[in-house]
Amino acid sequence: MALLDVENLKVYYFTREGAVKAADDVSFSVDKDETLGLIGESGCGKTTAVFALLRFVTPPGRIVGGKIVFEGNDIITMSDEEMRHLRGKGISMVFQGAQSALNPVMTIGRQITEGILEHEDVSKEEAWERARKQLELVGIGSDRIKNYPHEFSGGMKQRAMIAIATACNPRLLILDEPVTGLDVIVQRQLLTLINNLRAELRLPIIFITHDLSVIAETCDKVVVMYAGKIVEQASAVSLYENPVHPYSQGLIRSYPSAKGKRKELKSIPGAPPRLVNPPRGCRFHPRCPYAMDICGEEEPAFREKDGHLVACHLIK
Amino acid sequence: MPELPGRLEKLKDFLQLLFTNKMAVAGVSIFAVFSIMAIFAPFLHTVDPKATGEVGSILLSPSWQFWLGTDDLGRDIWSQIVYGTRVSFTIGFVAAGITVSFGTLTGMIAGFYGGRLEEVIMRIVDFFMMLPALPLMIVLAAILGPSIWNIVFVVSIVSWPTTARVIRSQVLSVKERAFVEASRCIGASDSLLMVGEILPNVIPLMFAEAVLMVTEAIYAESVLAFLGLGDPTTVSWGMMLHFVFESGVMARVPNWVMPPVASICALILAFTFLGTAISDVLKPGYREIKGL
Amino acid sequence: MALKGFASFAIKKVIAASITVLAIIVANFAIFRLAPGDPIRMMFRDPRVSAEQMALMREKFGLDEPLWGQFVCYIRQLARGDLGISFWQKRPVLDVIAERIPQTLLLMLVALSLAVIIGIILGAIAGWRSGTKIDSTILTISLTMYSIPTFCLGIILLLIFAFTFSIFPLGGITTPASGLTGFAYWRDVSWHLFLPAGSIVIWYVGEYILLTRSSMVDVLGQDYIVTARAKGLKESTILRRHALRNALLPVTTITGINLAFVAAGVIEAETVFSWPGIGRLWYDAVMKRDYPVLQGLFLMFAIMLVVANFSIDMLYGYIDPRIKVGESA
Repeated sequence: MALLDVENLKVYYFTREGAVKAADDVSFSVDKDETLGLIGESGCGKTTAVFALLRFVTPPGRIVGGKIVFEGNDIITMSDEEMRHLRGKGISMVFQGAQSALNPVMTIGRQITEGILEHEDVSKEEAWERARKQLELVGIGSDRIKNYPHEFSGGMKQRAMIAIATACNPRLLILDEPVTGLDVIVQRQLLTLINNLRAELRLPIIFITHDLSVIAETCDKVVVMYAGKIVEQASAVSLYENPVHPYSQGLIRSYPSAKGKRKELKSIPGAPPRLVNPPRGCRFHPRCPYAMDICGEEEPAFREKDGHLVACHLIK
Repeated sequence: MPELPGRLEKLKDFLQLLFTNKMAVAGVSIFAVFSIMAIFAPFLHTVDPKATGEVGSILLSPSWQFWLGTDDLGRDIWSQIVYGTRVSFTIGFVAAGITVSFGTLTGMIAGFYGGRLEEVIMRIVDFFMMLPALPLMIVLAAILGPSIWNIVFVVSIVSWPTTARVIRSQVLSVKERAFVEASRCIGASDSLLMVGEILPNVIPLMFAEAVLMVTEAIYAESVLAFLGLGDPTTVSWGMMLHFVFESGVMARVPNWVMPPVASICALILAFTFLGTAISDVLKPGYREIKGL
Repeated sequence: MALKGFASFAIKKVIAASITVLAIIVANFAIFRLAPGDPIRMMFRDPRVSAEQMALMREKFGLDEPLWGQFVCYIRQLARGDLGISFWQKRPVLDVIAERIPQTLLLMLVALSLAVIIGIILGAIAGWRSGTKIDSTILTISLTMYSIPTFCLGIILLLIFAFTFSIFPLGGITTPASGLTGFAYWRDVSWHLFLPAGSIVIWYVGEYILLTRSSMVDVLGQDYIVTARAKGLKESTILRRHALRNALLPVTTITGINLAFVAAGVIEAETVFSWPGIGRLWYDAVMKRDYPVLQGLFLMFAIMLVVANFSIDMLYGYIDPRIKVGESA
């Protein structure tokens, strides 16, 4: 049984203009010891889907359908109290833009021990000892445990967030754009840290990003999302070498490579659709170079090709 | 420079949006009632508010002749209320006008030119803001002597720093915006920039400030008058309260006490509601939040 | 390391405060001396005072000297603690003011503590529940309470609770000539304290609710609140430890700025209720045209405000770690 099984998740935002179908019929799973990459443009629904995992969808948004089964329990039907216990201890999340994600008036140590003391029955000394170990784990010296967030650099704040998120030994870690916005050197350090954590802690991770190169480094499996829908699922290596869905192909081709032949960068023409009234049929068809008539009428089902799961009419 | 019809459209939109706000409607209604009183004062069953009566007509209860009765010098209370509206409006609008004009001018100069000029101006502003308002007003009014225009002056002196600060912040944020840079690039002169680009963005704020300044002015006049610093040649609501307070019969004459109290509170509330509604409506995203 | 950031912050504030105090002293002098009209004539409106006596007064007060000389004289007097002589009471202004301070302190401490506590709690609730019925009700009520001038409020309370329903006394600090002592005395005082403190509290609570609420709304939109939730903390913990602690920072800053309005409230409330404090002294001095007392009062109020603001700045520097510890990375 997979650790996490998301089945037909639908999250809609109900605005005056209509229902924004932010995540529409999304299904994927994560096994123990596996790192899943979730990739797509801004607004494609990846963050929404993941917020649903922690039941962070607030009005006007609502989970309108599907199941999220974590360790055998459906998250959607859990009570608030059970969900609260799950957060931080079962599933933990590191958010985008850690710059303002830390409480400015609490020491970093306190912010770590706070989670530990909430979920586990340990003494304060133990909690602080563990907090020190967490800081060492992420590469911030434990001597900085009494420092305040404003005393840290951007990269260090991000590490601090990881320290907080892993403090209670969660069974699943979600990283939402953890290296976006940081300079390349810091990015490298952080990615190395994340890979070390994967190895050391054997932690299953859901890694969200729009940066393909990062996915290649850290993920086992990749899910590509577009306009609220999943368009392709494959292993990371396979996706790189052989993207099947036209959108994935566009993505891969639009990334410059430092090695290999110089080739022309192709961007995908057009813009993502507004999700209040998405295009009929396949949501990508207005921008797809291979669009056929059926693409504008019927939504494609998932079909298998070369070991990838793809939602495209091109595949027989 | 943008075309005028565009501006008028925006104004119309803004006003339409404003009047969906309950507070704005309440405020404007109360204001309308008092405006009628002020404009049509002589026709509203009033007599000269300063006309004292003979001994037999002091401290009368409300009657058909004197709708709210008379005070301890035989003056008709209803007339005092009605004509007092004129005093409140005069002081309110004139003081607000001066405060906002001067405050905006200083705020804009400080924000726009920056540097030493801004520092000097803001130090002066800070100093004025440090001084306690009511004590300063009392001291100035006591020295300058009681007169409407002195009161207007005193109120303006005390209130302009806040406006200057608020306008300056707005100017600073508008200055950063790209279109100012763009205009500068095509060689617009300083004054053209100020009037053409910055001023239009500052006007809505000026308006909100003006409304709130009116409340300050009405409050200031009524407090000063209550404390005995009102203009003896006029009758204002604050002065009515001063007289009744000094008369020693305050306990027995609710018809004398409550009307000025109610009028002061009502007019201040009206403008407070209106001012709050205006600044709420001006905030970006107001339409979306209200689901319009 | 921790102290350095705070020390430099404190020193800057001390310097700023001192400069302000000096400016106030100069302003105080300027306002009263440069006012139109002869000060001596203003002081002694009594026509029975002869020309020689006025000349004598002028000399005594140093008014026959040039302005600069007068200013030096004034500074010297201040340094000695001499605020002049009250025209009306014929004794040192300092005494006139000093004997009234305790009553005002009592009134202010009671009123402010109540207002701050109630205001913060209600404001936090309104901010937390922003957008709901509770919030808009609290908002409208606070806006109303905050807008009504304190003296109007005082008069209304007086009419209702002292005149119509004789629950509370009409004014003063104690029942005259009652000869009460000990506990009974303090109970009598509290009874008299109720309405004047109530007028100030009602207005001040309104302000605090509005302040705390808007600060709370800002804070609740911050990312670290989401982080706290993702940790699985209890909602009450998040509110208390994360939201409120941050929301109170701007509230503290603005408290300082708004102290001037508390001064106004105290003047108005004490006047309406004949509470024998320095607020009421303003009214008495105005009615008697006692300019030395007014000048002394203004100086005192202005300087007290600077000191109070300074204390609040220090408090803020202590509770905001970004100042206490200073920037570093």
